[in-house]
Amino acid sequence: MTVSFSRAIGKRSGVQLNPISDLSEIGSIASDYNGAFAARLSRGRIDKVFAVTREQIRRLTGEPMSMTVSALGETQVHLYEALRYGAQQAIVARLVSKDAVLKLIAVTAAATPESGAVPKMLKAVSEAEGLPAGALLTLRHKECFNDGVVVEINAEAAETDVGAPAPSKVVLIRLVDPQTGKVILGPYRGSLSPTSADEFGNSDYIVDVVAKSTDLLEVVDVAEDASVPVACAFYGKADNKARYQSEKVEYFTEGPTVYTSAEIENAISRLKRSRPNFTYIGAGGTQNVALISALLDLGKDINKQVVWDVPGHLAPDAAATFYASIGGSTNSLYSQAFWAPIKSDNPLAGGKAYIGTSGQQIGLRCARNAQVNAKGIAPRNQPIAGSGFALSRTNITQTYEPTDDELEVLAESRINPCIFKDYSSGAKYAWLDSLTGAQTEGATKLIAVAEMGTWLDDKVTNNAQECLQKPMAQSISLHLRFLGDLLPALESAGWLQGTAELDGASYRAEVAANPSSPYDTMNSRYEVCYDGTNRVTIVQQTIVRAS
Amino acid sequence: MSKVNVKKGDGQAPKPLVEKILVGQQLPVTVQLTHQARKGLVIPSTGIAEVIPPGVPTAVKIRSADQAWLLVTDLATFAELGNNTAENFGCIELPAAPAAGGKPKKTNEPGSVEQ
Repeated sequence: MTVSFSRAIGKRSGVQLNPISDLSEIGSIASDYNGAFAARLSRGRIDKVFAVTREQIRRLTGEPMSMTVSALGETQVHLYEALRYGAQQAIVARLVSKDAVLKLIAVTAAATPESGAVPKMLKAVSEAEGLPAGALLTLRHKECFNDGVVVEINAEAAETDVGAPAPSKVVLIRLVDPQTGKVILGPYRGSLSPTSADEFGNSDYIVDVVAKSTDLLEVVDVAEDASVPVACAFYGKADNKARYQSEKVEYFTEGPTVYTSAEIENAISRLKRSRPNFTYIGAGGTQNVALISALLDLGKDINKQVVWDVPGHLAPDAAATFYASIGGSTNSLYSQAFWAPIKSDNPLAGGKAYIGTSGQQIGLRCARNAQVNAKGIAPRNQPIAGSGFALSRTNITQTYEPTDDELEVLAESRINPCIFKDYSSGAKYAWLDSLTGAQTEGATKLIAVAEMGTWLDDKVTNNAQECLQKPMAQSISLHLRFLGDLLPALESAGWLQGTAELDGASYRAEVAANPSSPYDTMNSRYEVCYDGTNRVTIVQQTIVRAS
Repeated sequence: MSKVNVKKGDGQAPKPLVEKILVGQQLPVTVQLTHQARKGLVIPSTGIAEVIPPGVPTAVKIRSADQAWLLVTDLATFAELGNNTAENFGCIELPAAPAAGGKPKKTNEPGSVEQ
């Protein structure tokens, strides 16, 4: 083959071809479809956040809990509704007490006696205990199932030089959901010998095989010179099928289901360090004041909107008092509170209960965010409120009919009611308002403006981060070009309106080196005038004389 | 009658206070709750859907150890949010423990019952 170029040319004559330079990056908007929750669940890892999709909600978060049994079951309904109505992923930080204990699963390969029961294969052991004497290996299942997990193991048959059965050094491990009986992890096939390698020379030691495949299971220890005896119950094949031994083990103790402030902070900190990203924080219907307050603080800290519920069983005055008593954290555009004096069917566990609507809000917002135009801009100027959006539940009963005065109290408190409304397009349970907690009569009191404003800041800071550690002139040029594309796109999507403040324009941007430290600081400033939301319509009919 | 006071910061370690509330009591138990916030509070963990005015003793039925725990953490959080440093921001007045000599009274361990 003739190669007509080189990658580096010094003094000789020739063609130097540089690597392709890709400057077409437009930034990811994947996080626009994700909501984050801190929740008490019966399954889920406790060392970091995990992503839940609609198909896997039961597998990852456990069986639904009736709200008659535990009010904590509400969060799972919120997760379900967020995912059902449009969120691509729910990012979950599992609330857990410091007394929770995750044990290792020790696997023993004992020979089955000729007469008698098959020896027990699994045992939960503490971290400190480690690999028990006589055990084959220990596993750590990080998904922390309260209801335990079924471990299934098979050892591949081996032969001696003369063809007689020999102890096996190759095992297959898989984990099965105890509720559904479906394989959830594996099978992982690997050797018990640390020096074993496959035909390509890569390690096929079971520790490496599992580590390469998943982060949810870890082979912690393998016994020295471990092997599975021929007489073991899971050795070789039976009826031409791999012979698995299957056993359930309870390896995780959740501990108390009430939490200290420090334990709540721990979950919040996991959300803050979350990968993947998210756009909304859901409170999951919690009535825990410390958790609501911590989530609101997190929203402010990381520029994410916090969608939460004031308990539906409170009357408007009590709802306003509850809101006010949470105090400072609620007074920002990131705080968006909803109140639904509605009892409805629990879609997961049955029974009728007061269930907050913030999960569904998040789902519908994510669905809206997915509807981007040709320039990648979603209609975030359309709040999820009014006649276009109905609460989707079954067997709904409204338990309180607020008067006009009470609706005034709610609006003054920045609480958005979700109640029955008879629109000419059809009667529905609808979100009647779209106010943030911002104590202003300016634009940021509107959820639509909070949506657009937080998104714009996120986009600009993402690009500004890309521009870091580049030459100053190049950074300014790149960032200015980015804003030059973005702001007209927002205007054409109907987000912005012209204003006399900006001489009739709807935006103005300036990117320049900072005058006081021009060598290492770049200023990016932009002024925008957002389009608002019609919350109040004043109608006046005047009848004039016939003549 | 004995009293358990809840102050700012008690949410970090509510267990000793919860144990104080539950010791010798048989659940459910009705306690008198008073708070020193500047304005009325709605405290979801009391199970009361109305505003509890400051300084007014209000009967609260505690049904489980978890509820007692949440009551302590809610009161401590309200003290924190209002930056109220009163030692008795929340005061839980317990009924006299049943007369000694009978069978030991059963209480739930904090965290053992969901609510």
